[in-house]
Amino acid sequence: MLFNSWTFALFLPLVFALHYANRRAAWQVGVLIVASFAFYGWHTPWLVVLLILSTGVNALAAQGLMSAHITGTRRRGILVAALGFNLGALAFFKYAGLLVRTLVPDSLRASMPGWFAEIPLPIGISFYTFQGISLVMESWRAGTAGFPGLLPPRGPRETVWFHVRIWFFKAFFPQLIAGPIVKAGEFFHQIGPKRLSQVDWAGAVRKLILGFFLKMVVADNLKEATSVLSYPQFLELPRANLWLLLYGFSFQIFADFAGYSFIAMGLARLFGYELPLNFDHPYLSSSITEFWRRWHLSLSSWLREYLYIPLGGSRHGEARTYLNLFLVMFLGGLWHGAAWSYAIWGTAHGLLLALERFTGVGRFPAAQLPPWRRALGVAVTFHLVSLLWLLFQLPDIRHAAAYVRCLFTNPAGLLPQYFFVIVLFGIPVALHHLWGATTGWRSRLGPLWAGRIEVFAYAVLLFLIVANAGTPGDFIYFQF
Amino acid sequence: MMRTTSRQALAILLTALLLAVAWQAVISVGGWRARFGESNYVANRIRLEDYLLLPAAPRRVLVGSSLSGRLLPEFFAGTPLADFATLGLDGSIPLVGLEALAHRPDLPSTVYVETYLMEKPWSANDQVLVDGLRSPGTELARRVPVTRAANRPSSILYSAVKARRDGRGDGNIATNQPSVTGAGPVVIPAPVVPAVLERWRTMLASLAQRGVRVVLIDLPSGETRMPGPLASADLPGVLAGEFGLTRIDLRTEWFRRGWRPTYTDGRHLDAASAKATARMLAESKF
Repeated sequence: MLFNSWTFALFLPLVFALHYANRRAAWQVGVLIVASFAFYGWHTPWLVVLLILSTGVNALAAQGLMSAHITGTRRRGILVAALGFNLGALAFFKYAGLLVRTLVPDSLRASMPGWFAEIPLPIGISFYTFQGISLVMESWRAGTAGFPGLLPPRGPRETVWFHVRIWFFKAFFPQLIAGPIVKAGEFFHQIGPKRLSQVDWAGAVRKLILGFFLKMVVADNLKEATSVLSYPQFLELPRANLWLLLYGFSFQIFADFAGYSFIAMGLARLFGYELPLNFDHPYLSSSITEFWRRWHLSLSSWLREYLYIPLGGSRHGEARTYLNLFLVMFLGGLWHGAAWSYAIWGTAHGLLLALERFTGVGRFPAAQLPPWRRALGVAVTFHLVSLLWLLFQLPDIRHAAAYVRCLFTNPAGLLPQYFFVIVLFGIPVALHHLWGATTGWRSRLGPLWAGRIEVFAYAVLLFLIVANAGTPGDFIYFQF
Repeated sequence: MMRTTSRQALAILLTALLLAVAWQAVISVGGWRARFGESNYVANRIRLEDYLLLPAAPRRVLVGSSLSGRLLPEFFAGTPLADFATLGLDGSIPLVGLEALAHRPDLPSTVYVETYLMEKPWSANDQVLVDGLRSPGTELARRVPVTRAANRPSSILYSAVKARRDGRGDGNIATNQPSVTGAGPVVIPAPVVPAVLERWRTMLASLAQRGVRVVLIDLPSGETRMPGPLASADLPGVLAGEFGLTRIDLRTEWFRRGWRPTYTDGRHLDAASAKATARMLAESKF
């Protein structure tokens, strides 16, 4: 089910009413679990089977890892098996086609069943699998002590409740399909009875309005214009349009993904839960290092905690640090999809991070930089990031290279329709970032005026959602 | 806390409502509405909603792609086809326009179907348009004007900018573009896809059952279709034979009269040629 669908507009009030119809945590969590599975399987019911399997295996593994009766090799075995299951499922559904195309010779591939290379990608698998890995890792680290909100069960009643909570953590519908990726330690302590009187209405409404605005007004209106950023269509376009398309796609991918994340946060808040911030005005970044502290924060945080630090992080000398950075970004790139273009995208980011580390760029907090240096950094970083987004639209590296060449060699001129669309719907992205950059200034206005400005700004966004939505469609990150 | 935060949320909702009312008042008083869309989807939504909001279905409707979109209803004024509407949808196949007809309680007596993209399979863009027609959003647009595509702030701004740039706003035609004469690229018809043929059969049978007369028309498209081994892939011909449909070949008519149509971009008729084509259609008396 899509957040921006009419079905969801009926689904949400129904689930909300049922959730608060009873104050018992078991009822509320039960309602949200059933609703989450209905949400997930709405268009493709068989996907629920996979989610049930993934959730069940991870719940059993977590119980085993927290059990006082399972120690030593058996405990380690559970960890390895659970990680193997999660990574295996991801590899099978996401990378089997790529692995077959890369590793199996053509002659052998012809004799393989056709479906093997065309396994459908279950929506959201990358997100909920990473949450499963987080649960397993946290359970492994915590052992019999458990962690806040998830203690080892004692007795049948606690065991049932233990599993119910894990099913809720894995399936909670606001973040199920495209994140934010919630780490186990961030969520379980929030589970408990929720009261309607405690709902942060203003916070939820603000997040929902911002999210729907970014998706329905910005991303969906940019979508048709940026669809010409494809081969061979771009070859004939004037170079000014190519630059505009480059910026337009940067705005679109941000608005689409950040939009989803803000909607998820707003929805979770309606039910009394707090999801981690996923986007913190990323195009204000003055270096690639800073960019990854502002873009898809939940993935960066996950990769740092469960990959970069276990690999040794920066604790084993410079060479190993560079290798770790490179490896994490390479795998982070591949996480986005089964194509070498994503691996190249991740690797390029890894190389830029290593380069910044080597030269010292990005070492200082942006606030300490002189304004001209920060402005230059923002401009350079935005262009680097935008150029690398090309690989998302042009997965063939030759086409991406041709695009870069055309940016400089195509004839001058401007097609006004693209100009109009990209400038008009790019302005809100710029304003959103400006809003982030002027938080301090707004706070100096005093709570009354700051509050009034905020109410008016969100009302304008809501009006535009109603009056100026674009072509309805999926979220870009669903494909990952 | 609940009272403070719910008051803030309510303030946002009420202010948005006030903005919507104010916007509607401004565009009503100012007579503003979008004639163009900044994207194909928006342009098509404007045309579809305009059609659905007509007080009564016109007697004759032309459905097709952007080629048909050039034959504006006003070109038929004073001709035997005066009560005429055009549902030429940018980048869409005629089936989408035909689907729209069913979203009114009344039907036209005659539907002219542009043959240009008849054999093209149903695309994702076509599906989005049809899903939009079937969604509650269409009913909402009927009842709440501020949700109509023609009232979108960005489309009104785009229309104003485009009209100013083009010198005058005459429908879909960018009058500042140079007119081009020529055959344009050569297109070989694709083989008929069975599913497409079946879809057409179902649609035409349904229209016939409801007493709607269907006429196929070939419009000048700036392209030359190649006869030859794939001539059997002429879907309009197959359907015309099967359902006994009249087919008017305005493309050939231009050349029979010794004239050459001119185009804005090698494919779409310019204003003068579109008017002449409209007159030819009116003279054909179908």
